[in-house]
Amino acid sequence: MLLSDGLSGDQQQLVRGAYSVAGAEVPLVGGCAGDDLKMRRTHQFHGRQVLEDSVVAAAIASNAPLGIGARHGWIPVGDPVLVTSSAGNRVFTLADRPALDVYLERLGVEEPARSSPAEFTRFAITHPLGIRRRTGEEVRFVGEANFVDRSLGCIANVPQGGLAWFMTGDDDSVLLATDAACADALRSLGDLPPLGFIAFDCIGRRGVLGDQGVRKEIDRISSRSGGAPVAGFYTYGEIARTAGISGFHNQTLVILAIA
Amino acid sequence: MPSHEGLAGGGGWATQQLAEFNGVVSRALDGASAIAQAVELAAAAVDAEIAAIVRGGEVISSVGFAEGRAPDSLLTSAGSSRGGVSVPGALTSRSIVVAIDESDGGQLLVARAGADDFTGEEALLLRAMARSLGLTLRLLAMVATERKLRQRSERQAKRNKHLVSELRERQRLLEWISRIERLISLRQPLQEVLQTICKGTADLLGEELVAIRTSDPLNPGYALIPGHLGISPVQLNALLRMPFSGGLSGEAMAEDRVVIRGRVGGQSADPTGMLGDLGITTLIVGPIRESGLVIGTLTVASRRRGRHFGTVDQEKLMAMAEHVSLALTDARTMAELEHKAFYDDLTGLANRALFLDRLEHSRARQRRDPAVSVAVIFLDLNRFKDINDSLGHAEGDLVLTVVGERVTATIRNVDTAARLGGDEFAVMLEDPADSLAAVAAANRILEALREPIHVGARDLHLTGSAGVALSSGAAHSGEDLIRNADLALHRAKAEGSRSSIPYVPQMHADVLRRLELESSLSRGLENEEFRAFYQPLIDFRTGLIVGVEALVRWVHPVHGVVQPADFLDVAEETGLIIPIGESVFREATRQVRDWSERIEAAARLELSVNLSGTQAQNPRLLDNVASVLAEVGLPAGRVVFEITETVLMHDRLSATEKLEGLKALGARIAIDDFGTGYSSLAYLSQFPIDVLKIDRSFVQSITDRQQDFDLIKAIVILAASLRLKSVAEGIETMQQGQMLADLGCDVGQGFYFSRPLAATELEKLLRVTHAPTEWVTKRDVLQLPA
Repeated sequence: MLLSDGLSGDQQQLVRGAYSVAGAEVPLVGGCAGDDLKMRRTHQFHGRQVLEDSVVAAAIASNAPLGIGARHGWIPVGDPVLVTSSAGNRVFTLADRPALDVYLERLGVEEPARSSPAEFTRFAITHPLGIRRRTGEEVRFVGEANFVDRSLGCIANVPQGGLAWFMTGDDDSVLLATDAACADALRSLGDLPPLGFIAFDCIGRRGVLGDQGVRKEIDRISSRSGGAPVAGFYTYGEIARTAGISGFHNQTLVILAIA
Repeated sequence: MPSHEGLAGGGGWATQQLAEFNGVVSRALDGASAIAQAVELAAAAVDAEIAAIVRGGEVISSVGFAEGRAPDSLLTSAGSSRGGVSVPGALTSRSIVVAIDESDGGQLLVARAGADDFTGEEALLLRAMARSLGLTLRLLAMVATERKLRQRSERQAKRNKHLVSELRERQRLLEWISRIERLISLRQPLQEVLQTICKGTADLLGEELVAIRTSDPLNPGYALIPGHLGISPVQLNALLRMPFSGGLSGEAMAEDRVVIRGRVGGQSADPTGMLGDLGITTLIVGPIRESGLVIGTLTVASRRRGRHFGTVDQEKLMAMAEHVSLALTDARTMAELEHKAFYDDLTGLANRALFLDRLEHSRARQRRDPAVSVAVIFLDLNRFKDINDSLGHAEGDLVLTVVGERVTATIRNVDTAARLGGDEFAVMLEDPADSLAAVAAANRILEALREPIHVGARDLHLTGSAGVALSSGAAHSGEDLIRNADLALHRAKAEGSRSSIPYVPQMHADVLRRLELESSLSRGLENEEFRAFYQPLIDFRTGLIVGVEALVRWVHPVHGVVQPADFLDVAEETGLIIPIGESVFREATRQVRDWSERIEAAARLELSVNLSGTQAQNPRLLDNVASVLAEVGLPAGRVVFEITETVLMHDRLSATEKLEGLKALGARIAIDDFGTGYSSLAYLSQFPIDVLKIDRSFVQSITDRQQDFDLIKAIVILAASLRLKSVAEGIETMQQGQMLADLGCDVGQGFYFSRPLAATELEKLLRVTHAPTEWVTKRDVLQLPA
């Protein structure tokens, strides 16, 4: 389990680093600490130490399997588009047109988000891009837009030549993902009853759900755990590696079920 | 090909991954870090857990094994074919091994958990990554060597120079590669990419004759030549006629490696003797693949005597051959995507995009030659939704496939059939004689559709409807034609026509009128012009008003009171019925609550409201009803929802759910127009019904037709035995009312008692009910039983 500082450094590299030590046999799970959305600095605790810019890791040994579920709960809007030009985290064109224009058009974005960077980011928090990977769909949080060259900046890389979706979410879809993540985590346990759940839940999902919805979400997780204790964090990025060598996620709920 | 959003431009996935890989690996400062990066990128690119570089029986670098635990023996035993290594902790996994460099025997091994094999494209990508890594490693080694050599004595100078020139050559190879990859990722035509590869190959090997040969799928045993350099048309012709299965090419393909042959002229290498005639002395041939399968060769021929192709030449040829493979695979993937973009997956017919494109071409032809004409037939299946709902989507899809086949079989080769979506099909007729001919063609299609369709053990009898539009002059765009045919189709459907109907401009005018009506409906909604009118429901026994049916009226600022018949259809189709219904419901509940508070006789007054098909399908219906009732404070028990048999039968499942929801709120349900639809006893038990409303058509002939009298009697008895309330509507005369009362009907409604009234008018009636109403008075006179 990795507890890290999401405000420093490339978290995907962090997961890969851990993977290179632990290997394919060991699933990785965790999340990045938050600071109540101030985005200034976060803290990690290790023994009696209070750390910054660090990662704390714990090895969990168990005779029973460890169940991990990771789901995002965003739903695609309209048809997919081809990423015709991108480099790393920046998307320049979609279907050969400026990415920002296509984004605004397809999602029907209205003023002031069409021209104000701050308003755009506020809108984009709940409207990420989805991209297709062999192992399924991944979500890319759209952090900002360049209003001059009409490109989009995402939190992780968006490969050129792949398909992308525009996505949105509401209470229902986010809560359905909660159910699915719990179910995935439980599936790996086989017939064993869970002893407890640990959840790493993206702060962005909390934004969609609001206080009321968050209570519902916690209720759902608790009902899935069948009475076993549930603990968790709101995170600035989630870690769940069960397949492949990459395991850093955005806007996702990660559930670790222990039996 | 017409352009299509999402397909024009942009490199394929594999090209992009490779470009990214090259970008990262070529920036590495030393071999070790290039290898470490390559291992990680290769695993990430194909979502694999394990990647390793193995050379000389030793694991040079790996990812996916716990630190220091890479199993040397396991990896090295993988050999050179697929399979062998498993992902630790995974139940099943697949692995693949590709060579890094022909000369040093290094291999890239990738293993992935799960049962999915690596696809052809993934294998190709890994092979290209491995080769690219090999080139980078050599280059880096060369730089290091050069650095050392520079410090040594002059004796080494000659060798030094040689190394520098080899270094330059490698640099040139990388330049060619990046140029070719750029062309591929810019989606340049395949021919141009292959031509560039031929030029690159010739330049790198210092030769003049290059050919790319691929197996001809239509003519097995012979080759196509999609790219070549330095070959004259006559020679090309001869080469096309040369067998492709045997010889050097066959060897290179079968063994999947580079084959070199000097002193050409032997029977096996040159069965026709052509190579010898061309003065060719030496050949080097490398295999090329498409989506993973070896399908051809890249061949370089030399006329120079004593030309020896060495390791470096082989490596360069292989790099170029890999890029031919990459270009072919990329082109194929794109072609498949494009096919997806222009053809309907299910039926194989053209889709809307392609249909429009063909139509525009035809229109362009017509603009050049006005004598040419084109017609569009728009057709759909009647009640197709029922098939999907009752038999399931798989059967529905089967039906659509058959329909596609029949449409195609009915039309000529020059015509184009398309599926525009759902059960909508269109046909473009090239140059029909006149509109009659087009209509006849459409009727032939409808005829063909009437033949039973076998689905499973069933024979389905289907009908279609069709509209036809003919282009006249250059005025219409393709979209216009489709729209006109669609308008004619709607008319055909509305009229229940069995044959197709041609478009006439009047239809367009009708649509415009409808559009106007639609927008004035929206305006009316904003201005609250939709008001509830109330028709009283009279208890036959007491003569008292026991309820009111709320009916919508449009109080138009210009046209006055508009009757529902003039706008409800449009409101229904546009869905405006939902907000209109909601506003009328809110007004009526408020009014009834108000009356029951102020007027003693109305203390238990019931409110009936109609539920249309669209309203019944509205997923928010229950929430809306519940929230209006809560907000207004009218108990749900005082509300009756009336729904017609037709609506009920159409959407049985969702209707049951809605009706049960309304019942759960405490409201009651009435079947409107009972007797006009299926009137099946089955659904009386199936749905939670409280009230039967006898249709006005029976009521009005109750005095004249014995049949209708009997029918009403049966309904009343049926209602009584099922403990349902019976209500007769459309009572216009006292005699009708009298007979209904005699039959034991519970409640009556109609012009005889009162027409629908505005709230203030109805209130007057409510206030006089303390005195016996006209009905009771007359009934007493007639001495009807109490």
